[in-house]
Amino acid sequence: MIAGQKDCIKAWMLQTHRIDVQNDWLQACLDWIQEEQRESNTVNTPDSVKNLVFEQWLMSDLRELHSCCLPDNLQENIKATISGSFPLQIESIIDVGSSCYSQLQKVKGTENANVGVSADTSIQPGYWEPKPSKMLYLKLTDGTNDIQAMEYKPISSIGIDTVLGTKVLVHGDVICRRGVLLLTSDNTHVYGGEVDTLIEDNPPEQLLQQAL
Amino acid sequence: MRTVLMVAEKPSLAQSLAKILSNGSCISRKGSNGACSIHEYRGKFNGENVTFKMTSVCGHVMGCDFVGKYNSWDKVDPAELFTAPIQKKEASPNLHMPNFLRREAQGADYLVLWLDCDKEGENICFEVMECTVGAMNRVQGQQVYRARFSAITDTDIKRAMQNLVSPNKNEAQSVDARQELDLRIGCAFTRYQTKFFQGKYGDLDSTLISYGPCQTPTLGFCVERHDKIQSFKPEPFWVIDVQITHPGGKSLKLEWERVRLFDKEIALMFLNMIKGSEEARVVTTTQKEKTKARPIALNTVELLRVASSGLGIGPHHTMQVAERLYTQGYISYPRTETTQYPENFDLKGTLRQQQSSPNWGDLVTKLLNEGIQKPKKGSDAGDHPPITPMKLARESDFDHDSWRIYDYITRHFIGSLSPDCRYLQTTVHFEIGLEKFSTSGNRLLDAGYTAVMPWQALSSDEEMPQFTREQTIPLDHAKLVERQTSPPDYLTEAELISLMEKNGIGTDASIPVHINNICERNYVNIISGRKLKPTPLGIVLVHGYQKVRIQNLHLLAHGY
Repeated sequence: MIAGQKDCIKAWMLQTHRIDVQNDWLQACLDWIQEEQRESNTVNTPDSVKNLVFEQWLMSDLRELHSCCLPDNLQENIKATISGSFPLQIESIIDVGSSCYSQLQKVKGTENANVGVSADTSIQPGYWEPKPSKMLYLKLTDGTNDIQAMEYKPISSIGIDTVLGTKVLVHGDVICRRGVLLLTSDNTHVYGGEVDTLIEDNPPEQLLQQAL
Repeated sequence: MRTVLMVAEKPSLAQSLAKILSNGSCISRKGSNGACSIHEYRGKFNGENVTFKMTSVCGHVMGCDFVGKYNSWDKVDPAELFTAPIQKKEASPNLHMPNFLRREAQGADYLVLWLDCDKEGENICFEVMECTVGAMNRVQGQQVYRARFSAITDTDIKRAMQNLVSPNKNEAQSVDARQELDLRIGCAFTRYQTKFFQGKYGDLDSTLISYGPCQTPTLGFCVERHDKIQSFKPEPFWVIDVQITHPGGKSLKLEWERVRLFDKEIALMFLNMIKGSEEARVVTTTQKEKTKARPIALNTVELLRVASSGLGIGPHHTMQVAERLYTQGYISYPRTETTQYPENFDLKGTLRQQQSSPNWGDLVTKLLNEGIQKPKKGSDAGDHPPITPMKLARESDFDHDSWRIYDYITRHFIGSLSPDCRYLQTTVHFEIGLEKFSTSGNRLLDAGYTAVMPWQALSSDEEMPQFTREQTIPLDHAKLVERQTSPPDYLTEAELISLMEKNGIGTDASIPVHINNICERNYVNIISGRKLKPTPLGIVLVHGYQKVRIQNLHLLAHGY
């Protein structure tokens, strides 16, 4: 592999996806791609190599990459604004708009349909609780620093069942209050991806059970 | 001269029917069994002059039971009960009903059946035929007739007499099947589980632990709710309480669009943002005319629900009262699933009867003058019309409970023909910082049906003060309030009735019976607010079934 190709791919990742990959990781990635190519007897075009690298990044755990982009000490400020592009990984998601107990019931499938019955047919199901409004509360990492975030304005591309390890790009001027990023669909873009170990170790039931 | 024997379901009904059909000229005598009377009068039948003899039974003439030797709990294995032979026995031996009927049937030429118009009544028709047809004279052509009626009024009964049909064997047999199934399943399981539990648990009253295919799922619902309450985990949540004062002086509480949050840090974060703004800005004021629709016509299940939740009268007692009101001609047949009147029902005429009532007469007059509304679309189950008042009554005619039920039925009827209730809802939307808040108030435009059903009236809000767009108002206060989620309450009777209806447990006729049974058998207790709290026995029983992996008790009711 030509040395120039590595720089080319690094520049492409930065420009197209705003991701700054480290040389060690990129080298290991390219080596692996070449190995796969040999074994399966296929030939990769330069473009397909770029996409393969991006896909690998999506599936990796940023912690293992030791990547870093967030400023330090965000937690301490009452109010701050960060500017730039920050690729981050979702570590956990919970909905703080409704009670953990009712979410746990839904996940377990033990939600009692009969609870929805009321003698006054004009009252909605689950009548003894007000209608829940969704607000997602996320824990994110840039690979080194952890930060919290919440769905300040509804973001349709992230939901309670978005897989853990999904990579997102937080960009622009983002307000951070008391260490919590205020995310909107304008300043958040979902790349996709996942991290196997995160998914395995944190089934939703367990997270909710712990919160209770 | 020929004789026509007519049989009603109860002595009081026989009397009412005879009075109507004879135009008051019937002569009465006591029957040989001491319980039933016979009312005789002359009239026309099939074009010829005949003597009519109107009498009655006292509910079912026969019941079914196992052949004698199977009545021993100790010697008989419950499993045998599924194939054991069954025999018909007199339902109330001391009434000597079959003998009485046979005696009156002797010399009669025709039989007209005036049993209640539901499946049970149809079944009793055939019981009566069993006892009478054999002793009657032989005639050419149809001998047995069936009258179909929905109310004990002059018009309805006379019309029924002119439009006699034949009894329906299929309906009758469906009741036979149900009786047999109930007997076999009920007895077998009751004996099995009572013997099983006997002596095993010292503090449990296990003298008789009964099982019924409808009664048990009914209990199941109550225990399900109990379990949900027990396993509930309360969680704290936070709401933001904001108050402003309009320049005119009125204080208003604003409601947060996000409603509530389960994370204190984030809630605090929002609070700080809001406090930082210090004032609320009016974004827009919307006004919307809303309606509260008049009720659909009344059927049994709804009557039971309202009687329980609104009048505090249990379903069993409600049905007893309603039965009496029906027999005396005050209301139409109270066991009905229908919520829609047939096309040719005389709504105006029925309404006019209520015009001279001191309780709602003026409302009725107003309604008749302005023109009645067509009742809202409901569903027609083809059994009887919705429950309707059939004649005017005064409070002094009844005891307290009977009056309250009659009062409700009549008000509901008048309400269903009244205009909808209309009100204007004004909502003012604010922004504090970037967070959205609102407040709203209602102003009544037209009370409509709520005039006759005042418990449904809108609570009168005070007038909403005027706001202009972009107007800013300083905040009186903004604070974080912590609350906790709480479990649902025990099922109310009314909710249980809804659940049973939704899941097809029991019929409009039998729902009160099942609820009464689980109370009488000490499976549930009625606590304040007519809620049903299962007893330890009830809980243990249902959990026991669940352990045997009968996950859905209501499937049992469908015979699975």
